[in-house]
Amino acid sequence: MFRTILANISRRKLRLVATGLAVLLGVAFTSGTLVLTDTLGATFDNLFSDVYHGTDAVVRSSTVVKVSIEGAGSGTTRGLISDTYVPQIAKIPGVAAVAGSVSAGGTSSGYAQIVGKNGKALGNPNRGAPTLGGAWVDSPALNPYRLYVGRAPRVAGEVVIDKYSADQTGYVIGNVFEVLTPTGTVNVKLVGIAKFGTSDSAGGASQVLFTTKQAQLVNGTPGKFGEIRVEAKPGVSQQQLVQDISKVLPSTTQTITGKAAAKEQQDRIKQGLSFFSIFLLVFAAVGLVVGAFIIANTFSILVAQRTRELALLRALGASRRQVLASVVAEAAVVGAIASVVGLGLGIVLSQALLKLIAGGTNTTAAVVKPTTIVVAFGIGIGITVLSALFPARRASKVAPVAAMRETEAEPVSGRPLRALVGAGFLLLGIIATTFGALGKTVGLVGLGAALCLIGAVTFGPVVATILGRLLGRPARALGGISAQLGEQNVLRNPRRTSSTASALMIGVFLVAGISVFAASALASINKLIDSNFKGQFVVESTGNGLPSTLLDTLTNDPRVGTVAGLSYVPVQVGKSGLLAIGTNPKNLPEVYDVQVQEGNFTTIGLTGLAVSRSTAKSHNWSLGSKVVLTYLNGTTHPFTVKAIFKDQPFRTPMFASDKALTGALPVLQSQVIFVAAKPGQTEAQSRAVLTQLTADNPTAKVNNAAQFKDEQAAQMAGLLKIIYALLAFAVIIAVFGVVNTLGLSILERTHELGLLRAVGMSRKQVRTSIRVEAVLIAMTGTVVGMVLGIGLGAAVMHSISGSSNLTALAFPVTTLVIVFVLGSLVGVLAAILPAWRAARLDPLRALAME
Amino acid sequence: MSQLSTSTTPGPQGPADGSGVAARAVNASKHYGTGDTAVIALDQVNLAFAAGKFTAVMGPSGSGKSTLLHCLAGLDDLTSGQVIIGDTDLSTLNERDLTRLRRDRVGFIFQSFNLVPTLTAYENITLPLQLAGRKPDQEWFDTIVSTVGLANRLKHRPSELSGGQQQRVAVARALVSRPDIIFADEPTGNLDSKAGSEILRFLRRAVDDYGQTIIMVTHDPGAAGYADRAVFLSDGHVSDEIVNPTAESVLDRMKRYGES
Repeated sequence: MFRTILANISRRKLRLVATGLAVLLGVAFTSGTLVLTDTLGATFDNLFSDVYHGTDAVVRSSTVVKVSIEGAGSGTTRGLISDTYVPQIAKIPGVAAVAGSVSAGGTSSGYAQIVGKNGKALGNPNRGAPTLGGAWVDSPALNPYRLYVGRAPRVAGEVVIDKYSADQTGYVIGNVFEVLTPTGTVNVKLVGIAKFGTSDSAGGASQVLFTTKQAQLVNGTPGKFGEIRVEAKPGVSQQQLVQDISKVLPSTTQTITGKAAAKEQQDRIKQGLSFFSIFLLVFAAVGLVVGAFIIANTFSILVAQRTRELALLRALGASRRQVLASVVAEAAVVGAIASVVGLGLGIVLSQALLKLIAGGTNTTAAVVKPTTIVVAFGIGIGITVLSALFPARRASKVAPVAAMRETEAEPVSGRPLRALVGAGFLLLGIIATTFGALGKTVGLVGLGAALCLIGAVTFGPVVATILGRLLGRPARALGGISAQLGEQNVLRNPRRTSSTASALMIGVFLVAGISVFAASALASINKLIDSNFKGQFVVESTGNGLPSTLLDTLTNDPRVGTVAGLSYVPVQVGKSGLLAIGTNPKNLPEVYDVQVQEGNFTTIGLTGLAVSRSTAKSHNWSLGSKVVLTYLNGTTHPFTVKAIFKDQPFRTPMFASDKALTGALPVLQSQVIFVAAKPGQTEAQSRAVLTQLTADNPTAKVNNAAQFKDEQAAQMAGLLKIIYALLAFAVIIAVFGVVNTLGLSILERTHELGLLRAVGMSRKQVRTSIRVEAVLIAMTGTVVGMVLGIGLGAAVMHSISGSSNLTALAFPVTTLVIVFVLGSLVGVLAAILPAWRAARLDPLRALAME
Repeated sequence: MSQLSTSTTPGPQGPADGSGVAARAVNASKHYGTGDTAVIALDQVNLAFAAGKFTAVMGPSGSGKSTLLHCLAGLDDLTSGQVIIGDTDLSTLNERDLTRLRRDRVGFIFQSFNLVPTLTAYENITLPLQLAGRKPDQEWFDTIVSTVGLANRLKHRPSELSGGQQQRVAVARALVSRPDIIFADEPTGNLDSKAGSEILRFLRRAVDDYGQTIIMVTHDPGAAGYADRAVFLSDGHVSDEIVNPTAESVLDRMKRYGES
């Protein structure tokens, strides 16, 4: 039996190639993602082992604030410790060396961004590797950097940078340049270039190494360290060292082994990577679902075409089970081959991506874990076999007598039960979606979406018939008999048309849904800016945040009107962490409407809090409630709730005076600064002033409301671009599906095509008819996907609008039109090869085929 | 060489009744393959088919009769020699012109009906005209349809028609564009005798009433009896012919050639 299967596969090579491709691409995407994240993980594992290689103990503050933001994960922020512990630790027997580090995992401090020769800041910490600033450490065991050329910094103003940054900027020893730090811009002189171990940079990060004193100063943390690293004398274990240090230091500090510190960092990176991995795997899953449709479709066509052959096998004594097994085994072999190639392609892909991401870092060799291989084969073979199961079952039901009959290749389906079930699913889906949208339950909308998709696929043949007729009419009017033949072929087997179109439908559904959602979110943001933003300018940073000094500079400059900055500060309330926003409560309402519902915002003063409606509700607070905030430096501060404001779209839990929050973070850096123009100034005049005041920071940007909106739109567009690019992958698989179905259908109709050619159909007319067929299939998928996508995008938007203030509903008409046109063009693209092949058929030979 | 096909001048060899020549083969040869495995399907065939006549081409399997028909109809090309339809030398035509010739000047009737399953009887009949972007001549269309008796079957698809009815649709399709010649390849091969003779009567009427030229390949002596002339092929040569054949005379001639 197995030999028959192999013979079958080798004889149907071409037909199975497209099937294999669909699986292959899905497997490649999945395994590529896994290999990429595993390799990145291993790279970072190595990186942090290197950072903490000679560190036997790490001393740090025991104060942490863990803030979890809904939908954005959680972040832990740790307090700082005094640098006076350094000599204290150095005295402990068993300690070989001690060095302080201004930055530590989880602290917001410790950045520096080099300004290049072109006046632009090097790197983009929001989108790539971080730009770090720290202190040069003399003890080689505690310093992962090794001087490549030059020397260590001796006095303030001298720095060492990593070789990658030096190569990128072209700076050489002796050059003087600017560095952006949390407290402002400083001028430095390059005295040395260092390598991170043997690689040019640590994971692509740029690093500026100052003297310890200056590192503390530019970070706004004089006398403080993020952590203190300790090297043990030979013969002293890490545990022993930790014990010895813990005995001496107060309980406001915490000492852990160097190994544990490395592990913490490695785990933190892995958590980040797992989000990244899940994000990519979602798209891989979409591709695999689309692939499953194509596999199922291909196998059902193949089975249909082999009806007589299978019946003959049955007549000759093959059991039902043998027929079923033969089809399933054929799928398994195709799946296995596709998995092998897909895995290989995935590894190649991941390496290419890695090169792109990693910059100047030496990454580890590709990490292909056994689980990746298992997953690749599991998915590849599993999906292929599962998808082939239905067609296989149908194959096993072929009656032996069919061998004698001259039947149509595939029974044209019109199963009323299927249509009924499909309609039921659709109806249920629509009901669930509607209720979800009205009842503000996103979960219900999700369920509705799933039901609608299942319904659309099941009900598909009916939809395909209706849409085929509807869309075919204009085609017929334009294209005459060729178009009519194309249309008839679409209607000939609605089930086949529908499952081919389903593959495309899923991609279009997601694109349309996401675009409606994104457009609505953007419209809501714009609406919010229009209604709430009352100033004229927004100063923002495209890098690590605005320098802490800028707010004062703007506030104190007589040429600038009302100024209010927003800085995000983690604070502890009881057992939970919250992100408080520090601002100038007197000024903020002049430039931004907080929508206060109770109390008075402007007068909250140094001991008052303004809290959001939902925060008040969850903590059981009302006006006058006493709230104690614990800061990162361990101090506690009593506050009173003095205002309650309407929930903001981005879940701002509370406002406090930035003066009251001093000490909660080493430096308060504004994320944004809202500015109202001085009365009597023209916009140009105000802008000129602001531009002048921010001139020393190339990452600071001065935007008016319109530009601010444009920026939000650009950010959204950037995100959408990535999502669309990833979805394009699903569409490519869908194109293979259409090509495959058309190819198989043409094979089935060889005789008919020969006849048409014999009675005078020109090659061009043959191509037209196949193109029309392909475009109609593609349009069917596009139309259904669009209708569902638009509906569900709007439903999701509506369901979350209550809790987040995202109230506007917008339909991105241009995008939708483009999607529609592109969706239809998919047909033209998919028809190229089948149409060419069909047109080249020799009529005489085609006629002879029977 | 048969005495009837030795003439090297491409003159008409049909009955000298003064009518023109619709098609002719001049030194037509067709070889498949090369060297030892070469098969000679047609060997220097010279034949002329009179316009407005019904010619039957007969011969055993492998005699080259189907190849001759395919070459005459522009479906296949010759290894050497010429096929001339009217005054068009097919060897001078490119693919597009050949397609146009098949569409406008030639009609086909196949053994296996060969209708397009997705089109109705009406659409199948008018297919060649629609492919050419022409409107059917309603009067002519009605005449044909009533001749073949399909008036109340026009909206049916092929799967809803009997074999005889399907072949009648094919006959109507061949006639509708008033082609110079209709080629019929075993048109009764898949039909029972009643339906078969019906089809042959239609073909006969097309010749008698409308002056249609028909060339039919068959190995059924009964079918050849409807023709004005029967041409016999064997081993790629024209071996004999009978003018005004009857089933009996054809059968008799076939027996003489040791053919069943």
